Amino acid sequence: MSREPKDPLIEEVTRWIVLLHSGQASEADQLAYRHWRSQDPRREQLCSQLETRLGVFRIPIAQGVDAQVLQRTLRTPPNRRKVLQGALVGAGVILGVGLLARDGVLPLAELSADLRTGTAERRSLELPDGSRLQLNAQSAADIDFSPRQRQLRLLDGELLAQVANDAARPFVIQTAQARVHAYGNRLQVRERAGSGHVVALNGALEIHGPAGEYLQLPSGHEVSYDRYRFGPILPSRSSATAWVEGLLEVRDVALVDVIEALRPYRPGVLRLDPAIAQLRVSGLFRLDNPQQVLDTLARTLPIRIARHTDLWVTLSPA
Amino acid sequence: MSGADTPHRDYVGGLFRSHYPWLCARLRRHLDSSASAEDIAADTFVQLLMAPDAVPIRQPRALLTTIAQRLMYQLWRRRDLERAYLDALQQAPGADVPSPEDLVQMLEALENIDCLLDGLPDKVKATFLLSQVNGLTYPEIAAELGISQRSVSDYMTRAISRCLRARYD
Repeated sequence: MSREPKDPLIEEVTRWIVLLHSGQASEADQLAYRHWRSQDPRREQLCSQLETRLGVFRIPIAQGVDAQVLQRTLRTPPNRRKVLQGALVGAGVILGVGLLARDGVLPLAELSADLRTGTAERRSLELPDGSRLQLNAQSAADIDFSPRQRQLRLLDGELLAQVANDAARPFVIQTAQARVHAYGNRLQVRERAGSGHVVALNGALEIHGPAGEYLQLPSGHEVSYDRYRFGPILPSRSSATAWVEGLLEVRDVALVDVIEALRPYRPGVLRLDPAIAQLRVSGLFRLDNPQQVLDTLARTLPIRIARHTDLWVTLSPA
Repeated sequence: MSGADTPHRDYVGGLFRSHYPWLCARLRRHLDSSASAEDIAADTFVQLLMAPDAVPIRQPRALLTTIAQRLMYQLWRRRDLERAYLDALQQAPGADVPSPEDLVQMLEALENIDCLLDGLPDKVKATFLLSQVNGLTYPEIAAELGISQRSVSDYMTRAISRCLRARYD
């Protein structure tokens, strides 16, 4: 009770009711209560509401069920909730530390996603139309197929789609920022925290951006975008899909891009000092062993790794 | 709900058409019979229909999942209570097996009582139930539970204050 805000009216009503249930209230007390109650419609309302609520106890009384039986029944813990929470979220989810990677915020949309991968988890699956999907770690997507179109909603993360032929139903990937229309049969889309990247692996794509602009991405090309604009269209590198094999292959890319690719494979917080974000990195790394990748980077670049805990690592200039 | 205006009803109707099968399928994975999955999915939309300010929903599936989850908790809690009640009856000396009608009524009452007293310590619940169900006076409760009369008054104060504040259904 001490935790609940004070409400003088509730306290007054409570005092009366406690007295009346004591078994020691006199007839004068009863009369005084009736009188008190009738003097203010708010008292009247609160008292009759309480009577209605307490009316629920008439049922055990009528059935001759004892207080002790009720008490034992009520003592059963609500222990299924946790299990259930896990179940609804779907298979493969890692709640908790995995989500720390994005500062502890669990986007509600991901909880309800049809497809979801946890930290360091990749999934490969077949869609109802025979298309094949690879889902990178920490990704979530909804399947939204209708007779008119095959739509995938990429809620977060990265996917590689091998699209089955169906001329009557276009294949579309919708993200928070963009809408990607596939004309070919192989494409990759990534979008995390407002930044996106699309690769037309086989066949052209049409991409509609957040501001209504759109571009045609020729086969064998890739483009990045953020909340405001598309970046330049570049020839795609063969290494773009290496994550499917658990690899990260980079040639002369910014350190920040390597770290971003690593995040979904590593629970906890990974902070990167902006001063070193643009250092250039080349190499072949194993995504499934992010610790080793960090150690390698520390040996080859002028950077320092500070481990506050296993789940909190900071990269700063050496 | 008579309060649901037409645009809102149309809006929820649209959501129903586009998401009901999805929600059923989703729930079916976590419930033992498809009947209860469909019940819960339907209840979910009824709750949405009754929500006065549900428009616009940016993530309908997220909201539907949240509502459905709450309904599933209720369903599970009801089942837990039923099992616990039948267990408790079995242990009680001289208790009969209840008729189906009595059982249904009782389970509904238990659910209400559970909500009403949710979060109160065991001793407070015990005190309150002895007063309300067994009709004991405070000195009798004190003797029964081996606590002071002062504690009995305190516990009753907590329980009644909770009942006055409870917001359920």
